[in-house]
Order: sequence, then structure tokens, then C-alpha cells
Amino acid sequence: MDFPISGTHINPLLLIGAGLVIGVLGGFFGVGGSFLAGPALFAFGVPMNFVVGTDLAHIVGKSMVAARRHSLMGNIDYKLGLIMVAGTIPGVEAGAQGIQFLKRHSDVDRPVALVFIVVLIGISAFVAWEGIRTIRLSKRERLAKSNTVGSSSRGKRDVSALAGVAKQLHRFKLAPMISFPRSGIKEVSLWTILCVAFIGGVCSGFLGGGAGYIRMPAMVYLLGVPTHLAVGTDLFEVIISGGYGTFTHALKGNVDILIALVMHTGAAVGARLGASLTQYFHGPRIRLAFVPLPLAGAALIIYTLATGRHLG
Amino acid sequence: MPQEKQKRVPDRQTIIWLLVELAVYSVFVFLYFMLALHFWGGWIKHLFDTHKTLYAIVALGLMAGQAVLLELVTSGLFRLIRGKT
Repeated sequence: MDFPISGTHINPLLLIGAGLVIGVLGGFFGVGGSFLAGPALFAFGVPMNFVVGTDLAHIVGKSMVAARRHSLMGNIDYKLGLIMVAGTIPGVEAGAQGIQFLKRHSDVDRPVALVFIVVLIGISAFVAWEGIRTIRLSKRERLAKSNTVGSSSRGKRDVSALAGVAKQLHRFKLAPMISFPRSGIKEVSLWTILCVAFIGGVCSGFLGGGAGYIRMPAMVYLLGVPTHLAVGTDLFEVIISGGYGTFTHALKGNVDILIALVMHTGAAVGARLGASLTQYFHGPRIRLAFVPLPLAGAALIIYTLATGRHLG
Repeated sequence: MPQEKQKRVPDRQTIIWLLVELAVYSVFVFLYFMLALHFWGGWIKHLFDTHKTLYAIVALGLMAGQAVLLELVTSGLFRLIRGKT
């Protein structure tokens, strides 16, 4: 099938298949899947500026549906989401301007692909490190509990090796200070939130997708937002910031909406399957299963860069 | 990330219904391609070349519309087929 906007020829079944796989993984791990969608589009021969804009458009559709589900479950902190939008949108625009700069002055594919590879390998390394540390920490806590006679149960809570980082950031008192009772945050500087959101926005505008791989861990580990609220709030935020990103990239000629629509047909059913699959798997080690996925994305980009061959 | 849960094994009937859902969904997607994307392609490309602002608005509208429509279709299919088991 010809996609005349980006000037590419891709088998639509490949696009649907990629969308399906990305949807299943996204639904299963609770992330958007741009760590695979972007590299897959690049491997299919889509120019990198179109990869970025098209991936943003594709993620908006997915986020709308997923955010509605999370809204019904009460998993969205709207106040936090709206404040983050104020930081994300300038970040998205900065990222989009970066793509425009590269379009005017040099080759877009190579520099964006290299940044993509570094970010993807970094994510894998971080998740692996955090996952292993958390498992060790849980084992130590269990041992300590079993050695304490008559200790009371503290109930179910998120266990993380980086739990102290958020507390340290909350000590940063630069006015105005804001509270988020819904997320259990007593007081945090507005500037901390805007900085976190801005960095996520730059990644989104420069690499495409919702950049949930950056914003989600940042919300959990840096801001101290509970995981289920971070997922829902991130999705709500991506509808607005991703919508803006799609619009600004479309104005700049970086969105092939036909590719996004075809890919989304697979992703829609994949997300539902992925969410259903979560009930058949268990165990805290599941986070480590995520580690190879960004690496697979990086491998796809390296293969395309090295060989110049396209999978589509 | 999925919470810690008791392990369940999908039974044969669940897998069969999942495959039926996928097959029905594939027919919908095929019809969608033939009726919508194939005929819209030329018009959307024309918008992209001549009127970027309108193209950006249409792109966002199409994505949002498709997301809502596919959600309704998949939810309806899942409910219809699961309801008969």
C-alpha cells in the first residue's frame, strides 16, 4: 500500500501487525509503546521526521481510549495532569523545533536515531537496575519482618528502591508550593513539576509518542505519585500534549495520518488483549520482562541504520 | 505494571473466543480499509500539499474519531461474543 504523504510503500498487514504487538505490550505493561512503534516505523522505511509526528498522532488515539478507562476507575489526578500540560507543551514545541532545525541544516534520520538508541538503552538499563534492586530490597524486608516477633502488617504498598528520591525533591522549597491530595503529595514546588513535564515534552516532540517511558518513572520516583495514578494521569496529560504535538508536527509536514490510522487499527485490539492477558501472569519480576523491549527497539534502529534496508 | 496476582491458566474455550473475536475484527478492519482509507487517501494528500492547517485539524479529528469508533466496535464485539458463552 502506498502512503503518498510520507512517500513510502508499506504492507498494511505489517503495520497492523506492529500495531497489534505494540498494543498488546502497551496494554500488558501499562505503557504507550512508542519505544517500539517509532523504531518499527523507521525500520519500515518511514523518514525519521514522519516517524516522530506519526507516532504522536497514533498515541493520541490510544491515550483517549485508555484515559477514559482510567477515569472510570478514578486513576486520574486532573489537577496534576493540567499543571503538567503547562510544562509539557513548551517541551513538545522545543522538540518539534529541534526536528525542524535538523530538517533545515542536516540529515534528520541519523541524529534522531542515535538519540533514540541512547534513550532506549538507558531505559532498559534503568528498569533492570531498579527491578533487581527492588527485588533484593523486598527480600531483605521480608527477612526483617519474619525476624520481628509481633510486628504489625503495613498492608499492600508500592515497593521501590528509589522511594527516598521523591522525599528529597519535596524538600526543594521554591514558591509557589502546591499540594495534590489526590496523589498524596502534601507539598511540592510548581517548578519541580514543570521541569519534569518539560523534559518529557522534549522527548515527546523530538522522539515521538507520549514519552511515557520518561514521564511515568519521573512521576513515580521523582514526584512520589502512586503508580496507578501516574499511569492514568500520564494518559490524560498525553491526550492534550500529544494532541498539541500532532497538530504542530502536522503543520510542519511531519505527520502521515494514513499510517497512524492503519497502525492504530491493530493497536486498538492489541491494547484490549494485553489488558486481558495481565490476569494470566503474576509475580514482582514481571517488571524485568519489560527490559528486552526497548532493547529490541534499539536493535531495530541499529539494523536499519547499519544496513540501510527496510522491513516493509 | 501488572499487580501480583494468583496465576490463572486460560482455558481452551477462552482462546477459541479470542480467535473468533480477532477474525471478526479483521473483517471490520478490511472493510474499513476498502471503504474509508482507500478513498480518502487522495483527498488527505491534497490537503497535506495545499492546506496544512486544515490537514492538521482533519488529522486530529480522524484519529480521535477512529479511536472512539474502534473502542465502540471492540467493546461491542467483546460483549456480544462473551455474552453468548
